[in-house]
Amino acid sequence: MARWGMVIDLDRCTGCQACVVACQVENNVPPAGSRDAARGRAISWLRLVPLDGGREGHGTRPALRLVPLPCQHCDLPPCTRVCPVFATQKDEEGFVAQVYPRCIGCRYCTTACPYTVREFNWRRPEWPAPMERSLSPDVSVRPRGVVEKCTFCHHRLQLARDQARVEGRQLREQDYVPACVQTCPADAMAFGDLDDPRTTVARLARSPRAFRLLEDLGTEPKVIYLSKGEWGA
Amino acid sequence: MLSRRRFLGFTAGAAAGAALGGVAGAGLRTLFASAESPIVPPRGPERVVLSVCDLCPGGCGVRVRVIGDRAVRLEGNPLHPVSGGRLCPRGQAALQALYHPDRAEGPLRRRGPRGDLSSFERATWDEALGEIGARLAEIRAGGRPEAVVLVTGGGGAGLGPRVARRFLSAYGSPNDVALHRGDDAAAIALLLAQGVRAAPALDLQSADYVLSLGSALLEAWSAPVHATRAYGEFRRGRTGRRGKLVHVEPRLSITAASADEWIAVRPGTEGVFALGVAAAIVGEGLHAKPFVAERVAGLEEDRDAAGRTRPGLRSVLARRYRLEQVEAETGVPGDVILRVAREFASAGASLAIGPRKGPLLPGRLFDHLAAGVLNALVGAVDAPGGVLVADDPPLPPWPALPGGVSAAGRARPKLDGAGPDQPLLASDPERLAEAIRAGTPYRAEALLLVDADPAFASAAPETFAAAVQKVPLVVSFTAIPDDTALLADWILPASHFLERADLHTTPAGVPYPLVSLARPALLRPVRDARPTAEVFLELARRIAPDLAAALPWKDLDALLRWEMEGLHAARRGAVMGTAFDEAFVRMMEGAGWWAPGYRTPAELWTRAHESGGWWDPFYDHGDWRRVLRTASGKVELRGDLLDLAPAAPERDGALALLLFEPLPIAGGTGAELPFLQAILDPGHEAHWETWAEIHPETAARLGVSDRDWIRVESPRSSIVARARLTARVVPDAVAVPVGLGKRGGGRWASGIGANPLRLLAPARDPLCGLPDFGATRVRVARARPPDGSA
Repeated sequence: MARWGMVIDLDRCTGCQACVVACQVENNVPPAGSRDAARGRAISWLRLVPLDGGREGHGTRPALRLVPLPCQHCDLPPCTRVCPVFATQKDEEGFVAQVYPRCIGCRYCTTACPYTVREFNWRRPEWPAPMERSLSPDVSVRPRGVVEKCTFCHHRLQLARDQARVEGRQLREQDYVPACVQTCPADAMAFGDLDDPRTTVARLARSPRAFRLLEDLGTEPKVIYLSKGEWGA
Repeated sequence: MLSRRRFLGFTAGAAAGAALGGVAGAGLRTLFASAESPIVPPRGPERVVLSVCDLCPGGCGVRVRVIGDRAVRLEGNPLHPVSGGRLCPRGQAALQALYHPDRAEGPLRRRGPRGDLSSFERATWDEALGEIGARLAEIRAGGRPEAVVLVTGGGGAGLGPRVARRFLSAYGSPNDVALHRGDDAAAIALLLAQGVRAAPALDLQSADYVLSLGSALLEAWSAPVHATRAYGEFRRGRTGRRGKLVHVEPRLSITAASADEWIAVRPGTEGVFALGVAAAIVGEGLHAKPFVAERVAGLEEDRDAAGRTRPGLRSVLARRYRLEQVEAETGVPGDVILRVAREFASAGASLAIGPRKGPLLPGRLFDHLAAGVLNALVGAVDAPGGVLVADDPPLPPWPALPGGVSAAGRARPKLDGAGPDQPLLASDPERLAEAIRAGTPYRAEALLLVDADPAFASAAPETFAAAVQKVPLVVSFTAIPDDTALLADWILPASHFLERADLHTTPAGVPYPLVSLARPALLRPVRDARPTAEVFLELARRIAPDLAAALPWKDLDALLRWEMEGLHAARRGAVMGTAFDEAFVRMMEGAGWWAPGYRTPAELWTRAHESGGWWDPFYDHGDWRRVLRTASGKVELRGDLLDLAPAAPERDGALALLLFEPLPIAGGTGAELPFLQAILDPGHEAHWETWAEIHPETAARLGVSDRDWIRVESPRSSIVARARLTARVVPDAVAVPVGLGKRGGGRWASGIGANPLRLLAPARDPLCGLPDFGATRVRVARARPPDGSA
């Protein structure tokens, strides 16, 4: 069984946010207006978080870091343990999944998640006509009152499996990547099976630059970051 | 059947209902209704169509997933050399532009006062083209074709603007004015140094050391996806060879945040810093001596064609840019300048990049010339990792322009004075606006705006707004009515790029000639919109036979076939392909062979449409006769121009206004789309409003706290913005993003934020005459919140 994970190379990332919009388009996230945004109610499964390390000085590296933050799909996810109705669970391939019809909107999970990547639907989603015409049939539209989050574009895995089955072959490494990884212009994101040592993600995850966010919490995230490098290294 | 979720909801609702009696009944019904999943997107037959994104001049090749008659997803076309299968956030948001609820329904005719969308009423295309065509025919028959003015914007490099410009020339007017200027200053610097008229193309992915002089290399660059892909390679694409990026700017931009070093110079001193580095390199003798001796003129004193002595750059550097002087002017310690100089001269392939900030903000020529000096000193001219010059794709010439009234009109002076008055400028839109307002040297009788919104996105928005109202016939070709369209007489809805066939040529910054092809992804447009190119072909037929003969194609497809047949006849290049195909073509062409993989024009047509287009990936480095066309045949260093460093600002207590263009709203477009409004700046988590970055020390002096509303006031105008206190900008400056503050632009853009271009002083770059976007000084004070804000 594959253990799907992502590697984000902060040395390549330029903070362009193509991943953020690709995610929203792929996953039928409704457009928010200025009012929702001001109240913190705009939904984004993936966002760039600025980490400001402090003062800047001549001849030093900029202290600002822009970190793309999707759901970390933890191996030991704190969110699933607090859900009273089993609406969020880690499945056998390691995806932390959300079952919308089961969710009662209590938001325990949004509080429990140390990465703050879970989003609550405060409003019924709306697409002013004719914007609903761009919706993808691969991803269900979420109703008001439920929590949603990054799925690692799990529907793409299902489609890729179907395609491989039709063609009578095994799934290949590049058959399945999430929308964010596919669009990244700097090629800063990689995706694949962390347990297969031949994959790009597994190779990158062994890099001395690799680290994970809030590692000391013991959540065992499956999103691995690579720190910036030194000149010539 | 009652679901678990609805059951839980129902019990909660029943309890509340019991408590409130019958009063809350209606509210509870809506609560229950909302629990159902509202929309189920339909499935249907699927296909993939290749197109070209035109939300910026980059022209990325895209693959569109179409279900039935719906376009549901855009991805980069992996075979396309600009996108390489990737897209930027603008490209990803393109479907919001296609299905935008505020796109014009069809042609709109103004019946009421200018400036208000409710003044417009629907008309048919036949009425619109009949009326506009008749008026244009009348002006031409009256012998005044020069009175028709075309203003093109900085959008895509597709056929729309190309056909519009050819139409204008054939009609008989010299007044072809482009707003586009992001690459202008860099192109003028290249013209002065190398004698070539082109925007420079940077070979970033082969560079080892990049000195960015305030450039927006990783933001709104000419072709952002191309540049960002190259940056990824520059950093991590070459085993054991990681490039270093040093960024010099008074503000820590998104590009600076990716750099290994941010050097915060005083506002307006990027070029002085670069010349300080150059002085150190020359002073220590670190420059590439064989290259400079063979290919560079002007380092030492020499004589010009008239026999006058010209000072060499060496003496200018030694006199004007000594280390302690540069240290005092830029505020950068001398040891940092020296270290950068030594690194730059010894790093292998080094590259200096001038301060192009976005499609609207070209940077000053002085700074671009200074960057050019550094490149010349280390031999980064037409070398791997240096500045390259793209060849134009070998497209066939179009039919000759008519004579008679048309030729006479074209010979009249241009209203904007570009050419004779401003020899380095091809267009001068602000001067055009003044000339239209004044009605001199002659009156403008019709104004055609193609993808252009000068009443919002120009160096003088208010002047343009006033000028537009002076013209009896104003026609705006735009999709979502913008600020200038609201002042027009006619709004002719332009089709979205997914609704039409198109052909794009090489975008600025890409070093090889390419021709990208687009097929319409939708068989019927979402609104009653037409491709701008076809509208001009139709107008040509309606106005006069000689005009129709100059544009003889019945529709876009006929024009596309003409272009591709000419391309086939050029006998070079290949259809776009995989990395292997690319390497093969390079190898063959390098050895003098042409192996295109197509034999007939029909085969080229089919295969180019299957792959995304045609290109010629072979770059012949060191073809000096092509890339050095100066009188001396060498790179010319202009010590005479570089002696005149811009004056230091007065100590008047005012702040320097630093403008920048966030990629999502660059070029004055993008604010229309809610996905882009939500991601304006990740460094400040800014969205849906105009913010102003101020250093905490400056803010303390002014009594401004973080997130206060402030008024930013210049001698010309004032805007209200949200203060963001940050050490990511130097003291005594205020940094404001360009791209918000529209009157038009639909529900998500109108009334959001403020337009800092209105603040600009009418200053000109003294070396070339472009507007000086860095010369404005402003005062800042706390203010009341703008209307309608929280």
